[in-house]
Amino acid sequence: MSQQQGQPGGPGEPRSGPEHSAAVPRDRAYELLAHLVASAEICVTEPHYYGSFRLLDAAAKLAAMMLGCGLDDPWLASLQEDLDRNKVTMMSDRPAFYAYLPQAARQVALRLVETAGDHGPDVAP
Amino acid sequence: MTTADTGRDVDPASLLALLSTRRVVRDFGPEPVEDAQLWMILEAGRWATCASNNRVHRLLVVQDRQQVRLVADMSPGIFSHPAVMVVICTDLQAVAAAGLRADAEPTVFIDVGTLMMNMMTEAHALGLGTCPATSFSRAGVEAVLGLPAHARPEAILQIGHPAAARPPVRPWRSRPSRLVTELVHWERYGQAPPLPPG
Repeated sequence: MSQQQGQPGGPGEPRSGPEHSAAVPRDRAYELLAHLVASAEICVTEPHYYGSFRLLDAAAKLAAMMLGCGLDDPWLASLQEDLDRNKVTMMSDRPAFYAYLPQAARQVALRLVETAGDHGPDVAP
Repeated sequence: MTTADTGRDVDPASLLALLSTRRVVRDFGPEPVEDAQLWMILEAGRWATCASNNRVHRLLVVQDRQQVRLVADMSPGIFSHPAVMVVICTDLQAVAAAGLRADAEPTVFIDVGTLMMNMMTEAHALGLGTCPATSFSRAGVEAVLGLPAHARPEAILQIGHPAAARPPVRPWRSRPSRLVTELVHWERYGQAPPLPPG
């Protein structure tokens, strides 16, 4: 469905609706914030591959949080499942864990490409 | 085996079976741990072997749901909200009184392990699940629990009922256990042991 310039959801306008956005409550966002900063502290002393594990775990938590807040995104649901299934190989099969890291990155990159024309106005990081 | 000190019969094979069937539990159900069980677990910790009987560790029991959640939030290595957390703290005042250096004396850390193992074994005997955690932000846990400066959190024991009836949230797959003969050297390092009897 094409959308017209200046209309809600059109080019240059933020998209709305459950397939585009989810409002994350503050307490849930704080949980992820705590996970990230706590990980930053302990990654200094833990084995290096734990850092990748913590980041994948955080990504899975973020996906779960957004889906739990009403985002209707089957791709994200599938990614979360993949993340949760593969991150645990850090404990049991480290070569498989290392092999999954670029695979996950590629998966996300392709999704970014796929949805590249589907975003709102550019926001500086 | 009957020990003169206790007068109790302990079947060594049963004890070995208990030790070898304990597994880390990372997903807990909501059921509370009975006070009597908790005290037995703490008592087991009390009897842990301890260097020079210095007893420089203290056990902080956390059951308040909000506090458990906050500690979990600051602990990337904790994946569930257990009924009970026991935070093993080094009491730095006790360390100083014993003439030890907290960061240089290995027994300070070894004794955390013996405490943990005794409590995990007792909990397993009671049918409870446990998981030790050291992957937490020390500063974060100190802050959410309001620990005094002389209490240094070293490890957190999670205790609760395993959520076995529910599908595992995180299906950890353990590596195959090594045989005892792969771990043991005999008389000289590098020399294989004889085969165990039987």
